[in-house]
Amino acid sequence: MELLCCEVDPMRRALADPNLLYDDRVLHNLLTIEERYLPQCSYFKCVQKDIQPFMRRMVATWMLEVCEEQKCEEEVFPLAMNYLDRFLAVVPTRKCHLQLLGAVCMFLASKLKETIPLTAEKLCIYTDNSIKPQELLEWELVVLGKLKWNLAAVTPHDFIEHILRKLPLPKEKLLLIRKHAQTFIALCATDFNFAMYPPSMIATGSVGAAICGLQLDDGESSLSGDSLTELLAKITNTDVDCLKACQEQIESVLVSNLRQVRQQQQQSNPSKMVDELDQASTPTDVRDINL
Amino acid sequence: MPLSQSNIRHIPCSRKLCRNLFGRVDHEQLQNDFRDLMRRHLEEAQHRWNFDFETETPLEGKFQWEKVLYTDISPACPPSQNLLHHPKGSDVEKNQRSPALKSSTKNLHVALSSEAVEQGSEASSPQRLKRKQTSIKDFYSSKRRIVPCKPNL
Repeated sequence: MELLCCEVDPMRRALADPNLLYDDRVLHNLLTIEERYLPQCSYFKCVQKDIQPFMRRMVATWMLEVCEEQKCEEEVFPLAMNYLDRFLAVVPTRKCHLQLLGAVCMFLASKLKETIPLTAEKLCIYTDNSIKPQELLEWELVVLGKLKWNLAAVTPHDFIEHILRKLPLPKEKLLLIRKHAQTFIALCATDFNFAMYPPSMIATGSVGAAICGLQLDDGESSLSGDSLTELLAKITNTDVDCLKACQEQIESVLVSNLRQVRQQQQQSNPSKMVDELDQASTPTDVRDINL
Repeated sequence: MPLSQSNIRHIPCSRKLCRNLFGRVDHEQLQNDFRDLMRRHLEEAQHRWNFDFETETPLEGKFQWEKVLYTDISPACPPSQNLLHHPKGSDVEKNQRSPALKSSTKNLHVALSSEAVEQGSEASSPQRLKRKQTSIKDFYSSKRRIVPCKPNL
């Protein structure tokens, strides 16, 4: 007899563990080890001949879309991009194998982070069956070897809760801030300029951009402009100027991405004029955007 | 949804996302690149550990490999159990040593399936949980002759 289980979400998640989140040793250790998992070099200059930055963006966008459609956990996509960058930093790869590599990286990241991982078959379907599951499994072994089986890389997501709990944020806004910060992190992962940045800096910059974008500084002076940046910089031991630059970079990536999306929308539906972009001031107004 | 199917994602792939980004994939070339990378990986490992992972034999180099009996390595585990489940020189043991380094996938399947058989046979024993994972060092102990380079992370 089969048991019926209709009401429960099949995705099982662990609850947040206060022992891990409220202990600064964890944050300290994350900061100590994060650099180990950065790609070794800017590989477009020194390793890759066939692959160019726009191709990384193409495969990253496709990976993000697949992860979103399959409702993957938030950290799967940035983790997969970390694997992809670390692999490309050591192995010259053909352009026509890049999508396979992207699929392998999603496969690995999903297995590491999810209770119900993506299957090889499904990922092959997403490549329009240009690769076979058997090839995916073989290349999984290659990627694992090149990553020296170090899969538990530190990602910006690991820092988010540690940062958020140290800020004087209104409780009712936490969910939204977290959501926006996560979106910024995904955005950073699609952009190669952020690939060599330490995850803690991306996390700090993303939280900063999220808070500024949501204009939460009305009643709380410590959440406005420079004092927020200083507060954030202290939490993750980041240099204030670096952090400022990083946050600005994140905001400009958002603006250019939105512009792209709008252009695509206008191309597909020219009658629908969009003028929200003009209203958006710096820092970017992200409140109305369905990220 | 029956519980037995609950560990599968039931999200269909939308057509617009199913796309081939960079043109036709040359499967033969892909296979050649795969073999080439695996062979190089094996060579690097062999060089690093001065150990031939294909024939499972030690080579000359900075590490001195010594064969040890399986019963010598985990005092936390009763020797009788080790002997029971790991008769020396058995195929199980051989294949467990370096499944990841085997270049042919055929070997890999053998390694995985033998592991599965072994786990099944031990399933009834509560002490199974205590057994530590086997690695190459469980069968050969290595001694450093000269200061080796630290394995990179």
